[in-house]
Amino acid sequence: MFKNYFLTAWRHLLKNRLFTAINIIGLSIGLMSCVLILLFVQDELSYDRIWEDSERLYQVNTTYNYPGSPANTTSRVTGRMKEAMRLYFKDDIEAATRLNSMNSTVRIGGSAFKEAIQFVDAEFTELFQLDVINGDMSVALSNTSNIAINASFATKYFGNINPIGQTLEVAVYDLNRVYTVAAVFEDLPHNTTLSFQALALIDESAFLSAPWEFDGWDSANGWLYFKLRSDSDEVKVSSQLKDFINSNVVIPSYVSTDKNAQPTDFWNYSFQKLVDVQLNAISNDDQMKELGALTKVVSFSIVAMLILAVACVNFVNLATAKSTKRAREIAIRKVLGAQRGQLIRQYLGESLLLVGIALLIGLVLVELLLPFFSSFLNKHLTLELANPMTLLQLVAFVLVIGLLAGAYPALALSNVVPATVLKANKSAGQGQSVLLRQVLVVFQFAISIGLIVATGVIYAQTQYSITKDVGYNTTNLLSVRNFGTAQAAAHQQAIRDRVQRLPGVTSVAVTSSRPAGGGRNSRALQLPGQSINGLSLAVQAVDHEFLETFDIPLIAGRSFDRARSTDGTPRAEGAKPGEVLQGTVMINEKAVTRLGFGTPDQALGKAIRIVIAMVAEQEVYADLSVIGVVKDTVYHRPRNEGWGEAYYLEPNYPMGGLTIRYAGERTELVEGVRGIWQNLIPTVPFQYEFVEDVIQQAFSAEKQLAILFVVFSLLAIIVACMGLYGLAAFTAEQRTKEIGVRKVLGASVYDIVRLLVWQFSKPVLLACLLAWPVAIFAMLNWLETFPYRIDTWILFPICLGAGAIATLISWGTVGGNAAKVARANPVRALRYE
Amino acid sequence: MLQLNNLSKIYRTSEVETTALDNVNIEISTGEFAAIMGPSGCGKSTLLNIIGMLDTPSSGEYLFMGENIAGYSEALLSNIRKRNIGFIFQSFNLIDELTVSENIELALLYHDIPVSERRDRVETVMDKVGIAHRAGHMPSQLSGGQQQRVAVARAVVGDQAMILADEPTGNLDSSHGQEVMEMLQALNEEGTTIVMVTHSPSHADFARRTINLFDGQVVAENIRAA
Repeated sequence: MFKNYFLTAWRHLLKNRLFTAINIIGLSIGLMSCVLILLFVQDELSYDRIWEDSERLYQVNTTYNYPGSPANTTSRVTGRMKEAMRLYFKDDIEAATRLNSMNSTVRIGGSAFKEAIQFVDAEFTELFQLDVINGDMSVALSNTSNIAINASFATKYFGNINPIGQTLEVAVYDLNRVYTVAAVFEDLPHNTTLSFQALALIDESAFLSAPWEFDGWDSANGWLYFKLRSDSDEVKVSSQLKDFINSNVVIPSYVSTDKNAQPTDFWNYSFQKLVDVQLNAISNDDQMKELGALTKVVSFSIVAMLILAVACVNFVNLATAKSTKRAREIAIRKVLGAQRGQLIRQYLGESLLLVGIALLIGLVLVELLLPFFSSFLNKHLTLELANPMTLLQLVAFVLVIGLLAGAYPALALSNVVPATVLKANKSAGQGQSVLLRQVLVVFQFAISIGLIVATGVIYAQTQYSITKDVGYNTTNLLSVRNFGTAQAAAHQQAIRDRVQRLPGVTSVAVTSSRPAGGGRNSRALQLPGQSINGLSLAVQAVDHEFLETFDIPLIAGRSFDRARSTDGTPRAEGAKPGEVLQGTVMINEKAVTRLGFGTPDQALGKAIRIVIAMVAEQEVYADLSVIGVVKDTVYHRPRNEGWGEAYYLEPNYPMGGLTIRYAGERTELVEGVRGIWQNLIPTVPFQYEFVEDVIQQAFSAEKQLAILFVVFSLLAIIVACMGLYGLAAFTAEQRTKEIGVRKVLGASVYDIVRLLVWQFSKPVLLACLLAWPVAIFAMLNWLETFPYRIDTWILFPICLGAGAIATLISWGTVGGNAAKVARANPVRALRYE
Repeated sequence: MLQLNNLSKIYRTSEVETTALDNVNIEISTGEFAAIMGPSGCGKSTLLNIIGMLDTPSSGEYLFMGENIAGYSEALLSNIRKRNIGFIFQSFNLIDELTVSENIELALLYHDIPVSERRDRVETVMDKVGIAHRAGHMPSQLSGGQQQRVAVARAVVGDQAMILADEPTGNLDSSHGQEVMEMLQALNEEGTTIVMVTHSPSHADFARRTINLFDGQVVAENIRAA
């Protein structure tokens, strides 16, 4: 019996080559997309599940809630949190560790390198288990002169020598220490949100000159993870967080002097399961690596299912269209005694066979494409066919899709009434399945149109983000890293002056932070004569060449002037306690609004008051009057909105950015700067980036999304087109007689083509009406996630365009068949009736 | 074998009511060879479909081997049909995707017959209708007469007691038609009951009894002396 089913199915597939090809190619593409996307989704869901008891690990976040500015959440916390939490939650927290990466320089054999060293607590190993290849992690984290390095670090610096016992020098802030390698561990797998090359025990006493790293409550510079005890729970700890904060955190006077203020008025801590961080982080800011996004996982899963749905629709459409032919076979089987159940099983088996073949081809495609897909996503995805879980999933795929696609044709076909079909040349009534096919074709077009709209919007938004005006001229700007390191600090002026003299250099600016370098420093301030608590603006310390180098337009007033010695923040040396000194400052447009200064012109001459020093435990103030208002820029984080910012010309402010505007060759410039750098500070690694590249880079996730969306949408559309082509071929064949009659009665080729093309244009129009609202709704929601977004009206031309593309596609696929049939000699068409 | 008492069949659509069979009374006994004749649209095929249990009567009794099956479900009918009745059609109705022997074997697939016995029976019946040399061919490679011989083989391979033939010679030239008629006659002589619809008076002469239908009613019956 089975052999007979199989033979019929097999020969049927071979005989109807066009339909078989359409079905198998469509289903293969659908299954391939599904498997690829499934691998991607599984990988995204696997993040940080490699750790023991991963469900009990948490990351702590800080939320700054200064009055007047929007709440700002970061994934980092102050260094004091760890001990405070361990003490307060001693019954709930089993272990906790900080990870602090402070931009360390590693020196080995006279050369300097940048490596991601994380300073951690000894409890690190209780939370995170590394695969130790050599040495012992507990030894490595037992004292402050040992270090653990990963395998690539070991190979890079020590080659074939046993790295255990080798030494290297680490420099960061005032720390300058020789470390001994005590452990080597395997490189971290890619599916963790942690990132480091080396680990060393935190030595707080070495960082007294950088109190923001481990001291104080207002600066968040390190990460904190803790492991909850198995007998405690998240809700309990959460409910006590507020009390914890208020009983531990001290409000610095520059944030508020209000005695009744609660620390929770200004900042809050929250925590999140580590396994949720990759896809659903409370804060994407300041994580160790770029995270994934749930929206991406969801949208790709949807696209994969849509492609598969389109392929299933092809199957249903072609199977029911062909059912006239199949009906005779069924009728005979029924006459010979087949029960309906047997027939249903036979036809479901047939669709399962087809899906099975498609799966095999799909898997071959997956194997071929996986390396590209994987490297495109920066992942190491593998398809483990030997894994029983994977096999089970694949079998489930075949069953679900086979049943989904085969159910209707099987039910419809098995319902055939033999007496009607077997009468000489009569065909089975098709009323119901014709309607179904029309509905499904509309559905396919709706999916295609929806995907075209989504692709268009994603593309437009990505283009918009990348080319968005950041407020300054990003081309021909070179930014040098490590300018703020302790070793470079003494040579900043010399480096700047020599770079300025290089041929091709137009202008050089030294600033406190690098363009597109992330981070955000705020400074609390007051308005003289007013008492407003918690007012603050972002800080940017600049030099006289700042506006010129970055090409930032002045809206009102003037820039800092070398000729005026009173410009900038005054020096606090020799000031008396409580004294108020005078100086000048520039602010941007957003700051004008924030401070309530009215128009930019009205802001000129108004003053802000800052604390510049403490003398005898009393503040020394500076009243800085606004001399210039500059255009808003998106300086720090290209993906965010800009914020209110003040530009200080301030002696002794730590400067971290060296930015060079140049004209001419990139490489020549880089070599020139490198020469100066290595001459003056050979112990600091020379690292640089071009600002426009960094900004492009910041949108790589969106670009990736856009490209993948284009590819998968295209696949869906191709599969839909193939199905439509098959259906059109069938319709044309079926209507041969009608067309013959029409031609005999005088219809021209043009009339006939128009008839058929119009028949296939109607579903497109209907599909537009279905797809547009859904696509517009979904894409508006997606756009909401961007602080900067394209104007909403752009969706309308995109929708119309998608409709036009779909119409053209339908004409293209149908037109050829229509023309062929229309041109045929009517006598041939009519002879066989 | 079978008895039709006051049997009527009415087709209804929303606008038209067509009476295909009107109070038909026919008795066919075991071993008979009956031909049903009449002009197009007189109800011949409807009658044959009802006898073959492919269609159900609107009213009246249908006694098959003494059992009134008029109200039986499709599954029950299918069971009775596959054990007792073989069909031969004007357009052969072989399955294009199966070979000659597979087409014949199909009639045994829905019975619980072991593979080896199925093979034996298929071979025997192919010898009998003289198509054994074409066992592995596809229907499209055969002439019409050969295809109809396969159809005859398929109709009798399950040892059916009755064969219903709907214009078995309608698509064949006269010599092939003659061949098929002789084959049916031989089967009848071996004891198989045959009911055949035909337009051809000469082929109707092979039957011992001719039933003439007109507008859904039996208008004449001739029994030829043996």
